[in-house]
Amino acid sequence: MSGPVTRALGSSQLATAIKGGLQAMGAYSGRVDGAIRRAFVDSIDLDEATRPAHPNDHRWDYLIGHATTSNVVGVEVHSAETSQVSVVIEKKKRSRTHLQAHLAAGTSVAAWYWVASGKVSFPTFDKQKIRLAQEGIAMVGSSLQAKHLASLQPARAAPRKPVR
Amino acid sequence: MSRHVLRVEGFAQIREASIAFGDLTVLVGAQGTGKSLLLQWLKASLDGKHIVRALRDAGQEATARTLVDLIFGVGMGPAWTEHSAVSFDGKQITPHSIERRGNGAEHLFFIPAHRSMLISDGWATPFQKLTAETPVVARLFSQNLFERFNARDGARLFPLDRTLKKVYRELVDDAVFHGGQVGVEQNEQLTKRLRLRFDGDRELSLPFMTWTAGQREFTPLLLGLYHLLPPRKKPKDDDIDWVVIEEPEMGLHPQALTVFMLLVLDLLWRGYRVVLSTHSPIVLTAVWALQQLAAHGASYQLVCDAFAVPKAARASLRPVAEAALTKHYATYSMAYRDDGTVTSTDISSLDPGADDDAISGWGGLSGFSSAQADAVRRAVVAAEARGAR
Repeated sequence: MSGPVTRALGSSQLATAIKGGLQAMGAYSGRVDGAIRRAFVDSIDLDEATRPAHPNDHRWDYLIGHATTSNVVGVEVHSAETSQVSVVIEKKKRSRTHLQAHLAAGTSVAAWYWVASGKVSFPTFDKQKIRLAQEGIAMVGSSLQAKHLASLQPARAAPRKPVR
Repeated sequence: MSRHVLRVEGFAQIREASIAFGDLTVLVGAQGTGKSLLLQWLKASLDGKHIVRALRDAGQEATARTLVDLIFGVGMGPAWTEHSAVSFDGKQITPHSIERRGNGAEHLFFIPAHRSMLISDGWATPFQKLTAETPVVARLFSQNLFERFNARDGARLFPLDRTLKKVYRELVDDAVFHGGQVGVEQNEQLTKRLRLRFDGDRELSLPFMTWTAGQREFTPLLLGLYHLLPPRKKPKDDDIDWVVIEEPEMGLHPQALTVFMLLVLDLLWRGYRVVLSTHSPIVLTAVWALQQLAAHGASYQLVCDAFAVPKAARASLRPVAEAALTKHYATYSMAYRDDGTVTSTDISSLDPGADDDAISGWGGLSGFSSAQADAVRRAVVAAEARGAR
């Protein structure tokens, strides 16, 4: 495997949890629209992979590697209720901190998507959506689709170590 | 509940629109998508005979050849072509058949978007004084205001005891008039005009054009609603079953618009069917909330909370709030296609998680703020990647 997640985390102790395609998402891989599923070439269940080191912290669900743009994107499958906004924001914050020890230099998570596990129960116009945007998180409804990825720019290659 | 259906095809920019009305129906869509044309066809479908009679009483030649111009405003005649088709509940309506629609009474009360322009000098113009350049729904509404101003010679128009429930009067006052009293008074030129009067420490008597935009817009809206609250103990007018209100949000702060939506719930409780056109996400948020509350078996208290009803007034609005949980709500979006024509889409679920952008984006009302929020989100993530955050 040499997908975006592998390039970002392949040198870390989390590497053993990386799987091909969307396998790390298990049944939730269905929350990625069928039309774009094959564009994701590797994935990691970040929640499970970072649980041993941070058992009591909030943890983001998954990172998946988008081959087309060479980006790593985060996916959180979570109930879309107003009361959960703070929880999801905290998950992202804590996981960003956890990842600092693992991400290869020059790599980052290019987008953080909150996929609703059930019905979306806050309105289209809501200060919570503004709050999520301000925290760099996009609420995408019941599945991640091509239109949500449209703003992803191709990732710049990580700087190579100089050959001696 | 039986769903009345209006279909309009090939009229002006409308290629095809089909609206199955609920107890409350909301139309959304960008400027120029024909929302007002649809609503005027609804009026003609229900009150054709009433309209034709009013036009003829004003000395206008209302025939099949002239009716489209006279109803929609001079210049609109060519909008009706050989490809045009309009039906209401399956019954075809043409310029020839309009004058046979209805029994001559008014069954639909139309509060048009032009409402504050119609009283721009503090007085309303009667139907026959307005030219045929003004759509007939605006002329009829102006006549209604004219009659109200004359019937209430020198009288106060707001607040009025026994015209609106006390809680509504207090909410309207808090949101719009702030202690001011609306009435008709004789001015320095010995002419009766609308005035907003403040008594007490700041004794003022303000002519119409000095009022805030919200007060100028809300006053004709309120006076229109008075028409739907009959005297005595009857809940609704005997003839009128439908109420159309265009763009209620004009000039209004969200607080005032929320009060207006509460008044809409009162109309629904009285048994009126209400149709709104709007550009306001607040109106759709109210509809979305009512649908969600009903779906989750919510109590009437939560409806009151959603519409900022003070706790002390909840009991008096219990029947209104409980009725709101039983009503059927419909929302339609009008949108331009690539070929420059307009079609309608049923977006009644208003599901923010729907895959269809027309539904999750509430007919385009969220598009621009979502684009801005998304730009901020991307900037945040890019800053994180640079290590700047």
